[in-house]
Amino acid sequence: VSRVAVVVDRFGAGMTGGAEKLAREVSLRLAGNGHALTVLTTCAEDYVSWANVLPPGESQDGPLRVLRFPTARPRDLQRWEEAMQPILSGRWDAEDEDRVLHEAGPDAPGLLEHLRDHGGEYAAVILFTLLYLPTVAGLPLVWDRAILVPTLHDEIAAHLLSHARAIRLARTVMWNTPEERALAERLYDVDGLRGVVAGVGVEPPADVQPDRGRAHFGLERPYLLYAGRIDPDKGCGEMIGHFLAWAERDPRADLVLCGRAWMRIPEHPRIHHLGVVSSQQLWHVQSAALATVVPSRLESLSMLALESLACGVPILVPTGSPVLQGHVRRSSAGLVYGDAVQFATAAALLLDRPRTAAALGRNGRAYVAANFTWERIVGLYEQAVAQVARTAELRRRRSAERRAC
Amino acid sequence: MGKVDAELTGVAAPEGDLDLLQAEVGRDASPARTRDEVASRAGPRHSPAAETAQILPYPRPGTAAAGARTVTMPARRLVRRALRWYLWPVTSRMTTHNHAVDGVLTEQARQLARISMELERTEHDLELLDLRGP
Repeated sequence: VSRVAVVVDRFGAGMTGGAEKLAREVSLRLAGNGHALTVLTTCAEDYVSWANVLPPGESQDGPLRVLRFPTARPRDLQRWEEAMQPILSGRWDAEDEDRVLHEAGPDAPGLLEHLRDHGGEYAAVILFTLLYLPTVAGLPLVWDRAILVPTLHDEIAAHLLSHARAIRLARTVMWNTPEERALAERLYDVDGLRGVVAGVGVEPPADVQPDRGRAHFGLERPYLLYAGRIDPDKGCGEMIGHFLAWAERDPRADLVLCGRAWMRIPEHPRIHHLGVVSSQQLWHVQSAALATVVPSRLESLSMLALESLACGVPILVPTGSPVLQGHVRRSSAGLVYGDAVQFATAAALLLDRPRTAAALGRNGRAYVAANFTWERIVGLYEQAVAQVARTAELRRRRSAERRAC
Repeated sequence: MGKVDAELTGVAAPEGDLDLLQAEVGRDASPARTRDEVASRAGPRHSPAAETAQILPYPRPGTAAAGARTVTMPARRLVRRALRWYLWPVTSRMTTHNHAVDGVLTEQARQLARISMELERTEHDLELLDLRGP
């Protein structure tokens, strides 16, 4: 049993965001294995403003001790955009980096003070999400016991050298995919970055029933599914465009969208927007789909793809996303499209050959079962904690000996 | 708990031939985004030389004294325009050279920042190695 700290920008049962969910799941499971878990986080609920909503101080979330620190100020989007200008223009220096990191936030000085003053009391500190200030500024304070979960994808904000420093200083890194590690190696100009490819556990509930999803939402025809934030930045505009082009020529399938819309969804009799759907219902709807479309190119893992594969449903992914193409290559459970014609060909192929689609689905199930079980993931976290704890303990003992001398 | 596989594994014996299926759909109709190799790497990219890299064949606006400017302006303009044709090729070569130097300085600054980061990490690694002893 060891004391382990988890650093994450936001924390709570209802938090959206893949990294935040992963942080909670890992924390709960490590606590379940007997570790004394302390979560160090902010009082913020949303990642746009970082406004202090939740009460500061100590609270309990099941077996987890949660310490919340207030952010010094909410994010000023105009100042942040101004700070990003040198980065976007491709010409910036160290001062620009510092400014953009502080403007991006969340700027929680108390959290950093806690790491500086009490970081040594933890056997391991697991820091989630590379891009935010608590990780970039906090990791160097606890470098000898730091386990980093970067959840990195190829965006301009990842180009700061401060991020490279955090990745290099961490004692070990928990990558989501080999493609994420390859991206970091290219971006940060290093070969052979340390760490392991962990990912996240994906385990569908036992009672997933495709018919229940169909019946509940009145979905009688075959459909392609997308679930998540419906946003042009996620590639949804392109996906809907491809679907509409296909729908003009082939009347056999619909498009079902689950999630909150951040863009106008065209009125079309074959596009069904179900809105925000409960987790349980989503499993039902997902398991009944002909295929799941994962249109976003900026992914470090893609829960949507993995949940779909876990249900035995093939995935359709765009070219230009190494992570998604990696899933397709390793699983043999999906098809890659580069344009509207290929999108239509892939969808029609799955409709025309149900046995092939079913075979792809079985491949997907096998892929998820081999790699994305909590048993494997938590096993990797346990190994990482044990590894850094040994080193940190050695360093603590040696420091004590030196002080005694 | 025993040793856990630290990498993702592919499906050992997948059903169907994905390559054949993918060939039917088509391959890489739109290529993946590519970026310039250096520009796609992280780190600060700025050198003060960029501010003075451009050389013009005439004084920058506002460099002459105000009084002198009004009196000599027509003559100055005449000389400047006449000379410009001869000076442009020279100054544009100087500008090109300066931009090249700026590029080198910028990349060197980035590399120095990177090396400094690697030094910090190596010092930490050595400290931990020292702890473990021989």
